[in-house]
Amino acid sequence: MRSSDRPASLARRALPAVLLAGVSGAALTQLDRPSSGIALGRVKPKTSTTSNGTPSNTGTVSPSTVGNGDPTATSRVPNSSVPAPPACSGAAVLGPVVETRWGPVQVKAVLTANGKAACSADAPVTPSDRNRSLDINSQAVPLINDEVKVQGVNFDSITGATVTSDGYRESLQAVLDGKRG
Amino acid sequence: MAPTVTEWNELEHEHSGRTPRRTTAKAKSLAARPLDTPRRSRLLHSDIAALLAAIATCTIGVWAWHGGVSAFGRGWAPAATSLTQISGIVASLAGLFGVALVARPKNVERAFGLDQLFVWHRYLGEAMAIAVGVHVVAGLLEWTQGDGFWSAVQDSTGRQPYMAAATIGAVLVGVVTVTSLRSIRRKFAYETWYFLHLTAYFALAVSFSHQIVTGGDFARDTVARWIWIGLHGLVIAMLLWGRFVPTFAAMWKPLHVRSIERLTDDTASIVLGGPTLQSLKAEAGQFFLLRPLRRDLWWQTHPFSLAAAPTALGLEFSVKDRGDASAAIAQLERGTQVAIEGPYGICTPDVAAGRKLIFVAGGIGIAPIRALMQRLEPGSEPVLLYRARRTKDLVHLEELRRLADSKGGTVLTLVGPSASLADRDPFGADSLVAAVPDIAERVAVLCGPERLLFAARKGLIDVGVSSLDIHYERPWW
Ligand SMILES: Cc1cc2nc3c(=O)[nH]c(=O)nc-3n(C[C@H](O)[C@H](O)[C@H](O)COP(=O)(O)OP(=O)(O)OC[C@H]3O[C@@H](n4cnc5c(N)ncnc54)[C@H](O)[C@@H]3O)c2cc1C
Repeated sequence: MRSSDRPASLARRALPAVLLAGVSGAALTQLDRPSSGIALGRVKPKTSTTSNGTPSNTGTVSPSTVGNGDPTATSRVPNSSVPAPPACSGAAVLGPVVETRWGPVQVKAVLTANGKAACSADAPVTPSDRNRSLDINSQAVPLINDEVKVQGVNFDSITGATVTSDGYRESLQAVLDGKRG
Repeated sequence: MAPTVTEWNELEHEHSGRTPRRTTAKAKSLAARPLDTPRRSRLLHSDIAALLAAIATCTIGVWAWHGGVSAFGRGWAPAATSLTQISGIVASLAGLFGVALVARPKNVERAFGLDQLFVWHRYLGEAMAIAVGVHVVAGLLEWTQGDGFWSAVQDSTGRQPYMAAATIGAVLVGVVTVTSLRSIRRKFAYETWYFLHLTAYFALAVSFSHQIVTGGDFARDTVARWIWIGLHGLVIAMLLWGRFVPTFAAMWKPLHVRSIERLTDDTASIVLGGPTLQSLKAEAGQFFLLRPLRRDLWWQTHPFSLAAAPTALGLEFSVKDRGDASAAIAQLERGTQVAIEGPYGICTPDVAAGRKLIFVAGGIGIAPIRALMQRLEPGSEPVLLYRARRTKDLVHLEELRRLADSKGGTVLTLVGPSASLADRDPFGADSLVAAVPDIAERVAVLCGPERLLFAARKGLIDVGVSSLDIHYERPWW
């Protein structure tokens, strides 16, 4: 017989596969660090006095004045060191639908009595075509809602949700400009 | 060395040293009760196609139902999402079907042969690799649109739940694909490649969770999700039932080497026997996967064709030393336990369907043809073209001549190194017709190395044999 050697061992033949599987397994345990969803953050902290002097909502909206706004927002009572806001009109109005790259955004806002600023806002319509959008928006929209109460229509975009932030801002600006959805 | 001849001939050939008396004696001892023939399955290609189409329609239908098609009309971002989803579904389906095939479902094997199953398995693997490639690119594009490329990379390497696993799965599919390219695969030992390619199963498993959690079609549609999970469960069950149970059963009740006899310097005849043979069904032309239960060999199987019509007394194989395992098998001790899986293959005597046969054998490819010849009716006039490098490699020649004579047929041989055939192709149409004038009316059975298979197949088609009348085991390795 030609081959005089003993057959190669299982260990030798399986080594590459075992190594590959081992490296994969190790990489998996190292890499898998799901950030409970999306990494969102504010772009940069801004002082609450807006530079462009928009007569906005530089302050707290007390729960009673939020009207039919987002009930969850009421629990996030912002800081009270800010001057009291102009009175809020009470009824929430719908803004126009803004088409963003990922889908439509529509804002519903409670305005000040003079209609020039938003006391509070929420986005009942956000992109929902894909899971990722749902994921992002479910986290980002409450953050934006909070920001709006403090910073008004020129709120800081949420990183990781810039598209929704832009759509939200555009729809809200349109409300302040008198357009309705 | 014998003078090289480039024509098929009937030249008398020196006796190999083994006396005819012994051959007949052995032939008699194995002439015990022939095993029953396993039943052919009546499945057609169209049945398989219909089943696959039904499953594919359902799953792809889910995607379409969820707006997968119309997404392509809504700008390129939704299109990227939709493409990611459909390529992911296609990749998974190809993977699932591929695994289902190597569960060796009996009905399918009995209709198309194990070789065909493995060939389809390979095609499905290729399809899966391409679909995974599209899936990764489309998915990255989609997420890049959201927050930039770097963020997309971070998301898919662990920041999104289950995505690290999915990415590792994709990388493994890539590795398996590259190492399965024929030119690269040839650099590995068969078993090294085999184990490497099993990591694709690991890939399928780890990428499953991201389909359920992130994949839009399954994360939000409970019905679709459960159908999807059920499909996976079904394939796993098939694998357990079709692959693992038979393997363990075979190892539990193995056969043993009843006798082993040297045929040439590198070929041995080995007969396996055991009580489980009584209930086995097998037919000439089929092959078994042999797993010698010896410390250094139990973890691998090698295919060997029945070299004689199988009987309840024993299964005879002719094993040629082509590498370390076959060398070891050709030298097994008497009494060694050998687990067998099978029989497989559909190249049985019924392929003749009442017509005359032409056999083409190269080297040890003679083994199944000898078994088939034993099963032919008298007066069936078989012709055997038997090709080998050296005269002494023409194993079983005396017996084949005797068999052919008794059935009114002939054996033609062609011996010599391949290089000496350069000026005249022995499988060219004119050589074939010159050797076998009625060749075009015959049904062909080929067995031998890949080069011989393709050369003979081409020649036969050139002389007018229908490709449906050419039978051989497709090379799957
Ligand atoms: C359907 C079929 C029937 C066969 N019948 C016979 C026969 O009757 N007599 C005979 O001597 N040989 C037969 N062979 C060939 C035999 O299986 C190989 O020679 C043997 O597996 C080589 O193994 P090795 O480790 O010694 O050689 P290696 O050096 O590892 O390989 C030699 C060649 O065999 C291939 N091979 C190795 N292991 C396997 C495997 N498990 N499955 C498929 N291919 C493999 C390799 O890819 C390579 O091309 C048959 C092959 C097939 C596919």
